[in-house]
Amino acid sequence: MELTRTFSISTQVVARELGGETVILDLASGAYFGLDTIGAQVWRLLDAGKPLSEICDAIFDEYEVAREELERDVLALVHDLEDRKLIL
Amino acid sequence: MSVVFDEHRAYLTDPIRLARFKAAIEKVLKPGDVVADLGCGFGVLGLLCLQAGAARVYGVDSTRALEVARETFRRAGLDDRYICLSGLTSQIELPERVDLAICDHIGCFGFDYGVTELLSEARARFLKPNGRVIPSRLTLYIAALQSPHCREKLAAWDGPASLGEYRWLREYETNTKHLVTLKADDVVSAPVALGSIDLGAEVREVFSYSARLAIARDALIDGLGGWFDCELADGVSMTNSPLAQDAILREQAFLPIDAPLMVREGEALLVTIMARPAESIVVWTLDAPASGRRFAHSTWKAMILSKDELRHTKGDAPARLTRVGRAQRTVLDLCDDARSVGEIEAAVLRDHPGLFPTRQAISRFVLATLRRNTE
Repeated sequence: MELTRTFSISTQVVARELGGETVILDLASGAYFGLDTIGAQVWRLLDAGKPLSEICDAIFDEYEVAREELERDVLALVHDLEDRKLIL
Repeated sequence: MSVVFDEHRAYLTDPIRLARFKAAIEKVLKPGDVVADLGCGFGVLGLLCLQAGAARVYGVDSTRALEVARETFRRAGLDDRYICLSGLTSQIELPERVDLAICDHIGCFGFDYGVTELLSEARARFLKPNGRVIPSRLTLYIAALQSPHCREKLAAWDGPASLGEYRWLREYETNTKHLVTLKADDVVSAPVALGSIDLGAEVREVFSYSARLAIARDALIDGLGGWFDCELADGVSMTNSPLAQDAILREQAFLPIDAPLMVREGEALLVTIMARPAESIVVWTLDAPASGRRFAHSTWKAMILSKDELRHTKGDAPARLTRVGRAQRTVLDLCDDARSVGEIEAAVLRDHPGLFPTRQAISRFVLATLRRNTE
């Protein structure tokens, strides 16, 4: 997956805050998923139309993580969200 | 208990509703038909069916209201023809397939009280292949609202009497589908039909609609109003529209926006509505192109959830019974057609010391568990 890609949030998805975390509901299946702090930030930036490279930049600036590991984790999360058809 | 009586008193004393159902039953029911009265409550629709010539009616309800139906039909000498079955339509077993399924779980916005799921389950599980349903079709309507009464609901969390620590709950209010009694004056756009649902066909789990509302006069709108027009039978319908002279006594839905919006006569608003009725989830958006404003709300955002519930959605998280869950397992494991209730209570006392404060509390717990899970 290229880091230049941008995504849009499916119209069938609704997000909310719960106890400081982000929870997303897939209307099509009725299932809901919790995102941790970094996952929630990825979600917000995806919703803002940012490409994956900028999302990784933003998280890299905020957290002390190795860039390669960060990109791997972000891509894994985005793959998962795309597989579940939560992002397009 | 007064909540139950208030609800059912309204059903029994609404002359228009009763007349419409009576007319529909006379059109659809054939003498000798066997009927399922789903979510029957006090059983009035089933009674109308018996009066119209049904051979027998199975009244299905999972609440205590069923006991009022049971006693009513016993006193009327009709308990051999009105058979009460406690449980959910999705789980109950009927001794035979039925000719007609009847139900008034229509709610205030049509799909919000279970009618689509109940009739869908009846079709799948116990309606004869050429069986009929009442109602047969729902049409949902939406309009823009200006309502001081509705605005007050949202403002309650902003007022000086409100403790500041709770002001965040205004977000819950603006993401709640409220039940309100609207006046014709509250409606500031021509109502638009969102879509129709054929209740005799297989019903989907998710509904998705869009509409364009034309504002009829300058107004400060507070949100959207939703209601239904319901076809009970060919040529027989009932509505809870605030604009109808012959509406039944039922509230409408108010879907708020988080701040009042000034609109002008002739302006267009673009609305989307999505819903998963089985989970009571409604999502609504409102776009005002003239002002560039956009509002997006969902009852999902107002559902009171805990992080524990989130844990269960993770596929790899182990499931763990609570202390009460373990006590319930004890009760159910001992239901072997041999042990008495007293013996089961003694086992709960022995195996779960300290869980209940008194012997009476144990007794109530055991009886409640048995009531929900045994015949």
